[in-house]
Amino acid sequence: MTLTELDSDEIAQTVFTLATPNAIYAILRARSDIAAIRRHLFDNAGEARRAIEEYVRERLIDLKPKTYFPHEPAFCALAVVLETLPMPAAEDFLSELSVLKIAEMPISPRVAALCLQRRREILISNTVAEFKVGPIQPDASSPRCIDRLPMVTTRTDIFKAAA
Amino acid sequence: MLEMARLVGTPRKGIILQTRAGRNVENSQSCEPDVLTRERYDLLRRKYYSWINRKPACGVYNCFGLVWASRRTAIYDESELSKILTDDGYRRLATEEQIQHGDVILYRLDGNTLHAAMALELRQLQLESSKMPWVLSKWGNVFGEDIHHFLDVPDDIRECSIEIWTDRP
Repeated sequence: MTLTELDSDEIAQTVFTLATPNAIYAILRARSDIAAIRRHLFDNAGEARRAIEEYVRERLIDLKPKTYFPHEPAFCALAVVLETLPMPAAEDFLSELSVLKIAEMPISPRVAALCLQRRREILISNTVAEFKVGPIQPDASSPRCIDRLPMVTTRTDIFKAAA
Repeated sequence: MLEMARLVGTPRKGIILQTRAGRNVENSQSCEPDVLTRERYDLLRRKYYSWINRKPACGVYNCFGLVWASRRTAIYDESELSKILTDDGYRRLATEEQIQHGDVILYRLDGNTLHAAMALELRQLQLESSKMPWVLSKWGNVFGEDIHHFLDVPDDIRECSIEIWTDRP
């Protein structure tokens, strides 16, 4: 399972036949191959940055001014793959793509913006959950006690669950 | 990572597009497709052999641009569609009403609009069957236009709910 799977005609067909970035995002998120690639990157985190950068660089060679960027479906899919991965490379790709406003790539920045939005929502809700603790003094009449310790959840666990 | 795209790409271009009520509709024109994208469109068309091709793969507009912007630009945001439907006096067709030429078919799934097509004609496929709408679709922002049975759509759209909208009184 490598990133080149994102170049498939099936993924391209999804992106080329649907009209809104929301619809593309929703359909891509439900695909099993996208989830498998995300899992593969997560399991090989050490090599992920190099693999992502190389994949992006190789495709950008085909970017020609005033011609539609042929790898836009793959970039949409890559954005969805990286949505929940706890890696600086994922954050970099999504942040940079979401602010790109060029005529050659009209859809993928919008999909990336949706991914980034959800990524931040997950992070915020998990951060809140992470610090939720039980009442230290449930009853003023009872002796001070901590009836249970808050569950410790690492950020890696959160993303593992989300992925 | 995407520095090269910023340097090579050209700025997005939209046009002035408004609803009947004068509210602006956000839009942007798409570039013309490259060879690989054109080949991908041909590959899709081979799968749906009953489609009648009206126009080969082209840029500029998407299905919403075909229906509401006279093929001049592409509309991408869900909120803009709601704006158009409201301001332009569209209503959902009641179950007992007959669809007519020019009515709009929206393919929706979980609150997302996946595609829009315009009704062209009603065709009777078999002698005793009822007449079914054939519609005109523009696929995405860089594929072409096809005339097809309203249920003969790509796999991702097949599971959608279908809404028929009209601006008729």
